[in-house]
Amino acid sequence: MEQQTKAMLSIEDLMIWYKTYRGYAKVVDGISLEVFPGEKVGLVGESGCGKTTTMKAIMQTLPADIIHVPQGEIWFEGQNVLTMTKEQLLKMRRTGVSMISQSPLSALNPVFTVGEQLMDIIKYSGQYSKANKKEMREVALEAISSVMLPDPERIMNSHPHQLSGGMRQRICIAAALVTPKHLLIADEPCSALDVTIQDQIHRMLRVLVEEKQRALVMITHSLGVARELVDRIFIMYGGTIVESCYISDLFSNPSHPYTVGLLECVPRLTGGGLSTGIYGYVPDYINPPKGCRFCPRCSKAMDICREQKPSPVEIAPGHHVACFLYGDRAQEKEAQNKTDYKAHGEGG
Amino acid sequence: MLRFIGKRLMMGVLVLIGTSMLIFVIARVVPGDVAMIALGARATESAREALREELHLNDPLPVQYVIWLGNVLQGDFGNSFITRRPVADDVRQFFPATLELVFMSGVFIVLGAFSLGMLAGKYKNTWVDGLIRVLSYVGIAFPAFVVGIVLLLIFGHNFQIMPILGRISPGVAPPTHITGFFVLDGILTGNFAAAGNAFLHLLLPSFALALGPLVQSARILRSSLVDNSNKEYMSVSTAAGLPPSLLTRKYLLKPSAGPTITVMGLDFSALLGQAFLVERIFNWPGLSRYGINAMLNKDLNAISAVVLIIGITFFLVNFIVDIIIVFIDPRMRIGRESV
Amino acid sequence: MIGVTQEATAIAKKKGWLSPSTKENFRIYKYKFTRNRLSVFGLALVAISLFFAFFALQIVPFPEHIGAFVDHANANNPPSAVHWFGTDNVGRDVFSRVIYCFRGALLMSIVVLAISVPVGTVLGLIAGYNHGRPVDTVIMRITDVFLSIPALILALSIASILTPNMMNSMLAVTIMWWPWYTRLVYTQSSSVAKEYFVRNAELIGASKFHIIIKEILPNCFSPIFTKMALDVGWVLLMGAALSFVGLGEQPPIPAFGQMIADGSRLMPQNWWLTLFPALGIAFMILGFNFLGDGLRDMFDKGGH
Repeated sequence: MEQQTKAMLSIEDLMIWYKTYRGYAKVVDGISLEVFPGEKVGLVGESGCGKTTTMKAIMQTLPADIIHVPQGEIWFEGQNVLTMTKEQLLKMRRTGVSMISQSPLSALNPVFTVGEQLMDIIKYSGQYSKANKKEMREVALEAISSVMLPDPERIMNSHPHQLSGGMRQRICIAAALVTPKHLLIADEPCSALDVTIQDQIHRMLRVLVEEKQRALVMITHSLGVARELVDRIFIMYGGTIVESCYISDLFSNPSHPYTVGLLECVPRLTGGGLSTGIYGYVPDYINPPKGCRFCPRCSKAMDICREQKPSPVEIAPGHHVACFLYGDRAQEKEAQNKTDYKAHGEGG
Repeated sequence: MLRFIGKRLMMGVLVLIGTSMLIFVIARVVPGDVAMIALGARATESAREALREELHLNDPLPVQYVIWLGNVLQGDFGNSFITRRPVADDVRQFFPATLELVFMSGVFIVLGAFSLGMLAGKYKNTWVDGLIRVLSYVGIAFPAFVVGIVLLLIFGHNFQIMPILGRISPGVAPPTHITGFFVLDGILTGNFAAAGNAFLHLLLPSFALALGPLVQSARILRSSLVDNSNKEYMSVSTAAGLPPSLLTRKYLLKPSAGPTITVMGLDFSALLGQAFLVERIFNWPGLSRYGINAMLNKDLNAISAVVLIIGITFFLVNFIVDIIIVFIDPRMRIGRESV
Repeated sequence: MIGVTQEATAIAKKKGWLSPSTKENFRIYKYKFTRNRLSVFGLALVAISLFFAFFALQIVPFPEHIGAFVDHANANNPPSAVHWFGTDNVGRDVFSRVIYCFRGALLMSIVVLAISVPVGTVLGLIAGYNHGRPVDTVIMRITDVFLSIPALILALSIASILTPNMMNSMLAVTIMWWPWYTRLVYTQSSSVAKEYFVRNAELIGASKFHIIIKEILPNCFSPIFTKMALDVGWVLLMGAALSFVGLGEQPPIPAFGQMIADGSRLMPQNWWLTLFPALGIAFMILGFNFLGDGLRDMFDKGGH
């Protein structure tokens, strides 16, 4: 299906390194992903696996002096973000992509009122006439009420430190949604919110994407959130994408050992005791494992995993796994199970 | 806000009462026999006894303090041991000169620190930043009195393009007294020749005083700018597509200005201290030169007056700085109100 | 579950994923200090200053010129091969005198800090641990009073009322220096005193003395050390200012400020009389400032 449409966002073999005192930390290690118009995509992985770094690379808001991008391309609506001029970049940020920050407590400027910050975003989006202050104010008030915050007037005149963490998080969401954009990147937008509000925000995001062929990239820890909201999912581990598939495949046929472990970590309401989970921690990025980055923690690791990096293999239409357990054997499997996967593919 | 100001003023008055006790101890208790210092060893015992009576030196210390403080509050600091004039008259004559000098230094510091700091922050890790850094090392390493001597040498002796000593050239009559600020008085009375001349006299000493605090605050501003530019809110505002100039001018500068202004207020203490030496070098007829002469001559009444007035000035400047900071950074309201 | 945790910890230790060891800590400190080449430069300047201070009499070419020495035949000579920094108006070697100034300046810094840091720290600890109680208020208000007058002016007035000499100038500077440490330690210790490990120590019945010395004080060390290194430069400046107006070391023993003051009267002809002492003091101040900056970087928790 997606073969016909052109991807809105496509990242190709991107690497991002941070300079540290011990050398480069290879935080993002060759990832590729595509997002199509009208699509809701999830990006799941442990803390520190490079999700936020990748998304900030799209916005070009990583600290330029400690960042090194040895290879890769980021294409947004036909333009390479990495080679954009300043004007093109500004245009992309104003009308193309918006991002909801992960850390609500530090995402708002502490010395300006919420209203002032929202008004600036509206003013410079280029979508409202600068003279019409009243209209812009209406838009800001509307954005605040749209994230279910009571008394928008009072909130407009508040400084961030006068608001609670949950309120600030909703302000961040409002700030990202206040002017219409094509692609919305939500970096764990609901981490500090009640389940009820979380649910409403998710519903709002879904409507926003579906009504105008927009796209959403949702970064989350939670597979539950992903299942509820997204069409396609990318599982990241240690700066690499280990598995990508339609959301239904993830639960019916998790393939990468890391994904399997991740799913086992999800507590089930039906009970059944605690799972075995995954041993260990995310890898050391400065001296990463030579082969597969997951192999020190992998129960099925083979000799080849310690020597070579696995490249993604399509084990079913739209279902890629970067693991040596698949590879050559994948084709046989694919032949056997072709019919099953087709059904899933259509469903996504 | 009003509560904050009121609280801060009350604290200030309490501290100033403490300050007055400290000054009293320095001027009346530490020296030992005040009459001996005031009149010298050759005075007769009866003359000394008369002075002791006059200064209430035979009363118990707390009584002495209360009498002294009562007089001070009425603006009576007693007579100078050296000139025999009332100290209050001397203070009134000399204080405007020091205020003018210090005010001009303040202008240098604020303008210089913000422009250099922003330049260094904008071009961080380039030669511009490096040059400003070297300048800041010069400002740290050479005390104001050395800078003063060097300026005196360069402009006064080698090039002779700048008047160097005093407030106004000997041939120029000072403008009519209104505020005591020569430049301001000159402008107010339309005596622009005198104003211009006084302004030229003002430049070198105030720059000598300003250089150290100026470069210091510029460095602070530079590092705040760099720190804050890595904050998440800058990344968010950048991602929102705000123009780069607005980001720097508004979203980055305002949160960074707080620490810089705090440091300026604290540096003001060093500036008032260094004024004692700089006024001496430039023969500036101000309160500080008067104060240092008083110190070298053990003129106890004059010392206590000068120190108290400098203490009050320092308090007022920091009070203003606090109010500015609270205005700039609303987060500070909570922290400072509870102090 | 415990078994799993232990196994995981063991694996993590083997792989070096856990918090850094002492050796690694040292490596991080060394990296953070040496990352800025100026810190290393500062360390070198400080080492040279110490060398000058300790061995001044052994290394200078004319030790006798440090005191009251007169040689009118060689007076007012500009710098030359024999007198590197020239001679003064009574024919004394300026180089020898400048090097000797390092000793007095360093002595002053050491004495001032050796007295004011412990006094200020103890008062700050007492006030900080008793945060909000009357003893806190009394100590901190007295501190405020001392900080309410610019340091140099307070030191000048005290020194001027006492007999002008080296001892009294040190005393004057010491009297106004301790409050800075009281305030620094107070800020640090009053926040540490709220931490759980202090509460826990109280709960298990540790004595106040034990809590202050063993639990709170170690958490104040890094700001104290950093401030000390930076303060050496400030004490030097203060000392130079005092001796500049004649309230420090008395002639014929030289001091930086005194030499600059004497030399400035013979400006601009005998420029070397002012320049070299000024460079001498700049040498020391820069050294200690760079060293202090390096220490601050080293103790800084952030960075890469």
